[in-house]
Amino acid sequence: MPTTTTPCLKATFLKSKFDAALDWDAYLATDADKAADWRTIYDQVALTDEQRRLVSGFTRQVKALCVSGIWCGDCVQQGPLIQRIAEVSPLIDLRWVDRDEHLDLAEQIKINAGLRVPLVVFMAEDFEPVSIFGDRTLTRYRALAARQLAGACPLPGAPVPDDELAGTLQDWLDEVERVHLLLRTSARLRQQHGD
Amino acid sequence: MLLNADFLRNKFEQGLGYGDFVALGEPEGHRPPWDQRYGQLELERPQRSLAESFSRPMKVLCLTGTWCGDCALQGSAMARVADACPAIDLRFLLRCEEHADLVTRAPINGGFRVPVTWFMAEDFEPVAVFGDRTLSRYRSIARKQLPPDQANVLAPPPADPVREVLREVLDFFERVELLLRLSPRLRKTHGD
Repeated sequence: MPTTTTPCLKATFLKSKFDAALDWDAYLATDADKAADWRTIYDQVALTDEQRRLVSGFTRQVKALCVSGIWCGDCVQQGPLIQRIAEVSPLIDLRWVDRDEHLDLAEQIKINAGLRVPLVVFMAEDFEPVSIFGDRTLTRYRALAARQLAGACPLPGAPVPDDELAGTLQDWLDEVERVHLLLRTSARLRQQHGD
Repeated sequence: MLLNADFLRNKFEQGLGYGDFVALGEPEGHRPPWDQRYGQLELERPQRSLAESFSRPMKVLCLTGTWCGDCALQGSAMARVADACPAIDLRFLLRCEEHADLVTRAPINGGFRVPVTWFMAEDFEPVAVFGDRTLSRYRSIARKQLPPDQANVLAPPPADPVREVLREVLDFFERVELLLRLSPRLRKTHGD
């Protein structure tokens, strides 16, 4: 079989997407009605003191671009958690893009042949890609499997248990910590920052 | 980083199983760490039960180096999981000139790091890409390389750092299995 030419995410492309992306408030303002569900989850979660101490100790810039849909239930239930993490450190720059308005990006990060969201592209300070994480974390998938494969189907908008949110928050935080440590221990960036 | 199914299928078909890949390494230099890690990473009974329960066919392609210590650890852990589950087809590709088309499409932080692993559905549609090191390995490196006041690692060291990587790797496989098992596209294909 011939090798098919396939693109890869370039820093210049990611920077252009990041520059066009919105911050949290601007993103939620794109649909005030649907934003209410996002704020409900946002108000339901908070980082523990230990989690806050970890994130506030970050010393490398992390760019994070979340490809999302404001209408998407999984985005509602995970997006506010990612936002909560980012708010703790001024070095985490988290932006949001609507999947359907940025199909040139979404098409390059399809999962299982679908345009799934949320997906976060984590980048270094110069937009070099580091990690792509999504659509759901392991905690979310375990909870979903328990509901779907057991035959129970929750109503749309049904409350999310606190322990599921806490587990999902920890999953996302683990990936953010991993990305930060990758950048903090990077020979390229240590040379650049002299640390 | 996620690439497309045709490209991944082509690279997967050039990949080697664990035993054949490890045999590429120099017997006196590269191979012993792989054999040592594999020997240390037998699945515990609950881990084995979990891996055996995975039901969706999963293709996994690991771009790696026989000479790389982190690859030996992560690669052996993946091999142990795959050994326990016939639904997982795990292949390894050596990072070399021959596979530059894959290497150059998988940059991490501006470098061509290994290991990088692509997880795919049965039809090679990409599901996840992971690399290079796991969180526990990065915590360990930060503790060793950075001044204590700059390491910012709050989690205590794991009781067994080698087996901790196995736990992380198994978590990753489980997440991919659940993604595939719950996929409406694949549930329709399999009628389940």
